[in-house]
Amino acid sequence: MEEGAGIYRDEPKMEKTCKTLRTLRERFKDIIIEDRGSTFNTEVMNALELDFMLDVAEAVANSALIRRESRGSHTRTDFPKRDDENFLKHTLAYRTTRRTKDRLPASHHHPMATGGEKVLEGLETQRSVLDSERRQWQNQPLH
Amino acid sequence: MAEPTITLNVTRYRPGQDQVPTTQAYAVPYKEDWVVLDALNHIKDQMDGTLSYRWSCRMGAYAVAAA
Repeated sequence: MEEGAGIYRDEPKMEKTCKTLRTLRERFKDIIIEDRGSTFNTEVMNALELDFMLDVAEAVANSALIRRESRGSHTRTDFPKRDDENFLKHTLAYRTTRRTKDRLPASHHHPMATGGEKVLEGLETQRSVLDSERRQWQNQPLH
Repeated sequence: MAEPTITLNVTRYRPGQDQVPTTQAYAVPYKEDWVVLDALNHIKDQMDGTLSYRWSCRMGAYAVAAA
């Protein structure tokens, strides 16, 4: 994240970071929790924190990638100028499938988001696997 | 030559599971530059994920006042 979505940003570095994050998300699927305890279970805590950190990192990196301008602390060496014409708006990041994407109001579609949305579509499948895995932990007896 | 190891006797208590605290022995690599926390982290990462512990060193939080 420091390399690809840090102080000075450009497309190749951010692409690389987004790719790394996809790999990390993929690896996260292989996580095994040994500790089934309900008291002070730092193993589950660390896994959940990693899960959420990957969420935030993916949202930051993919959003930075599609914002092809510089604004505030978002400094892109490949787009040094602010571009109100195209980017005077918030970026909203969703995990989408093709189906949910069609349901989003058109105003939620970032004009430059096509590439990013494709990335997030791929992640949605992995996400549902994760959610079912998390439900498994919750349904298992604790001791 | 095999890597030198050292045995760490860890007193453990898991509420709801253990009636009384018990001692568990772990053989960890012996490294000159390791502190106890390095050994505990090694156990949790590589040997036994159920070992839980708290620490406050190496947090880089000097001069931080907690509210």
